[in-house]
Amino acid sequence: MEPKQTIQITKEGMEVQWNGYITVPFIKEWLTNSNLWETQKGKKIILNLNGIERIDSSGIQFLMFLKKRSHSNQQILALTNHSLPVLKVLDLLGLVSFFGDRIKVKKEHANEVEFRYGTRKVS
Amino acid sequence: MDLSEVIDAYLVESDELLREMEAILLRTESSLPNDEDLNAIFRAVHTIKGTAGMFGYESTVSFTHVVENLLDELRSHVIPFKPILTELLLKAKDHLSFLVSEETKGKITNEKISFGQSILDEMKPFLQSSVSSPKTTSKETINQTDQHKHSNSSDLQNEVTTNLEGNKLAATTSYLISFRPNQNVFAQGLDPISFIGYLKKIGTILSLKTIDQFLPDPNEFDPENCYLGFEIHFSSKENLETVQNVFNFIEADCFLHIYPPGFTVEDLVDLSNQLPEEEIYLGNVWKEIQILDDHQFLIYLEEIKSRKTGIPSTSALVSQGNNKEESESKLSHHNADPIKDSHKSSTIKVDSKRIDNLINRVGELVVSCANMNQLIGESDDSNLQESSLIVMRLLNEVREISLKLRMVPIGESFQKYSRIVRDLGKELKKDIRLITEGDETELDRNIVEKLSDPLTHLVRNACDHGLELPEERKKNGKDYQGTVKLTAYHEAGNVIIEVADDGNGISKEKVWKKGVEKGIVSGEMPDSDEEVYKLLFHPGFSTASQITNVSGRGVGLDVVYKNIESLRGSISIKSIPNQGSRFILRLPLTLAIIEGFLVAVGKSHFIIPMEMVLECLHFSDDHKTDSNQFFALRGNLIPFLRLRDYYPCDVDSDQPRENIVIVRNGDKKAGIVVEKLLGEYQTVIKPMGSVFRHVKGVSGSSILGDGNVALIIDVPSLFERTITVENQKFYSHRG
Repeated sequence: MEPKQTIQITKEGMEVQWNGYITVPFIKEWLTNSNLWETQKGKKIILNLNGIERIDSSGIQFLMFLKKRSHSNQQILALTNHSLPVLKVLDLLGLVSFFGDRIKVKKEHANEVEFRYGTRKVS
Repeated sequence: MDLSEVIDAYLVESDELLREMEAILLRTESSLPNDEDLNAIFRAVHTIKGTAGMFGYESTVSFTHVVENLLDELRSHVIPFKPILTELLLKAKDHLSFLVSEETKGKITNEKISFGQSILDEMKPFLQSSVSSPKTTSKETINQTDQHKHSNSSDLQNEVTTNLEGNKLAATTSYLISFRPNQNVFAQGLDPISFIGYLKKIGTILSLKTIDQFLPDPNEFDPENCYLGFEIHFSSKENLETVQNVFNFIEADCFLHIYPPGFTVEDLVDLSNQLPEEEIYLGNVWKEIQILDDHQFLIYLEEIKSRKTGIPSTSALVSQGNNKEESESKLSHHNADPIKDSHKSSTIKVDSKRIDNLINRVGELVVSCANMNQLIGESDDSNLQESSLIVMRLLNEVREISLKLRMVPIGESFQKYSRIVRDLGKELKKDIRLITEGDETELDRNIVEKLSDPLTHLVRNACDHGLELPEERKKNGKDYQGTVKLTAYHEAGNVIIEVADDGNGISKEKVWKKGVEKGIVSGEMPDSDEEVYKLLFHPGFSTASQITNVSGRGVGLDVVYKNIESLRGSISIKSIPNQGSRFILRLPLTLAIIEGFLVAVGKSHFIIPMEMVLECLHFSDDHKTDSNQFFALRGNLIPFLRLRDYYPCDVDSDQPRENIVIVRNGDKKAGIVVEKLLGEYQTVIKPMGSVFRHVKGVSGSSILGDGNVALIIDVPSLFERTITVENQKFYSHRG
């Protein structure tokens, strides 16, 4: 599915909605327009992931990269409304504590994720 | 290294762990422990068992084995936590405490073993898994537990034994998979996640850590490159080949290393040399994914160090020798490893004798330097004088730091009273709450240790005779729950510790009547509370109508008094009917630095604790009254004494002028007449020798910069002594 980014500027920063696949083509395109996020230095970026239908290793690596980058830009990057494909990858790779965002699991998805590890911050 | 030092370390560590265990159990008694609490208790028991096993303390190992099983099932939620288990675990803690200390001394009696067995029998109904016989050897027991610990998944029952000497890892049924896809895997159309996901079809991923160390800076990030790595703790019944086959399609485009069950710490060290990340980072990752436990992590670090330095590691030495003694001595070397210490905790344990030694040497250094400073001061060399001032400043800093080494917060020792109060409450059928305040107040370690018995006695007294039964309290309009309060604070160069209860209070009439009956006192009851309550410290004195097996108000208070006195402290009592009693212990800091006020009488020097000094005045005729005991200060009469009347001083006849130091003596003011006021002086209190133990009015001594000795005045006891002397004079005069 064609990736799509929708941006809404708010008081605190901006809310971004991603739809489609987070894979290499999407990331490449995003990087060419990354200045859209650059302007938000010191602000909060809420990244809504409910429209993500697929995320692969490059996609999760990209999210990790964004999280780290937001730290160096003094931005707060919060991932919200994780779709099931995103949740599954976070669960498998033990990355819940890495992102540190609140996770909501829909009732119908409860059996598909376990979060048995990687949920606790380890110094 | 001397083996006894290693055993001491084991005792200290076990004591700390058991105290922590007890504190958690007491804290969570009404609310039930959470996962973190259960994990902490499990770790405590597990650590003790591990160390005891290495020393060959089989009674301890056998006992902890079952306790550990129970805790493991609790923390894994195999069985639910029930309130009765708190009681049982506290019993187990007490027995373990006994085992740890006694087994290091020699053999445990059969009676004690069967007592331990009775505790274990009580535990068995709660255990879901069958408990293996505790009479296994220590080595076997460790293997069983380690195996149990790491086989949380119920579908994994492969039996592979490990042994500690070989440093084989506890993860008996699990694989370690180190997976580092090449940077170009995305270009090859490969998705590492899909391979990892496939692992779930042939087993269980127990834990996984995504390595993100090589994610580049923003301007270097290329989405077509893979920068991630994975360390996977995986368990499966399948053989190594099947696990390897999962990665068939990506094998050529990654670094892949799979260790089958039974790998050792040495294997991990080998692996760490092949992986791009730093060894310590990898060790932490393996600890995080539970490939290494705390102990193995330390061995891992040590092994890395030994490979770098070429000095054989303890673990290597242990594995080479089967000789138990040899193993123990190697362990001691391991204990002394700074790497271990730096990772284990930010604090280190030091033998208190070494600290004493250091402080003594620093004290001598201070005196020598003061002499040197004086000599340099007499010379004209300004550079030398400047250098000497810098040395003195640094030395004073070192002195302050070294003195602080001995100070410990009293809170640690307050902690144990929670248990005493809890148990007494149950025994006496009273609902008692312990409140502690001023836990952070620091006191010399020696005093803290010696305070243990007197405080225990006072706390037991407060619970038993201080507090009423709940029904009685209700009748008196009080809260059903009684309170015992332990408070510590600094006051005027002393540490004050108060043991208070909100019970009935002490009946003065009853105490005096008893004193008269016993022939200790006679006549009408005096107005002074102090004089009446003093009777309580008389040997064999008790007002308790019923002496219980817990305590009797008065029974043993003489011992408390003696103990406090031997610490050069004092004890006083305050009590209000139906509101409670307060036992106030006033203790010197003994070995500490205090801000003092240096005075002189003739050639003798004295130091008055600065916190007690209110003001200094020239003792002029205007102040003097007809009385030789009081002087007038701004319209108030204040009692005073002359130091030269109480201490043999070479009085300076050329010193016509007298000065008076106004001090705070409890709530009142008093004056000490001296000749010279020499100003503020920071001083080290040196405890008085045993010969001078009974000398009143002096709390210690200090060596001045010029090598002279100055006595530190203990103001309250000096005035107490004065009152006694005056009373004696008064009565002898009447007689």
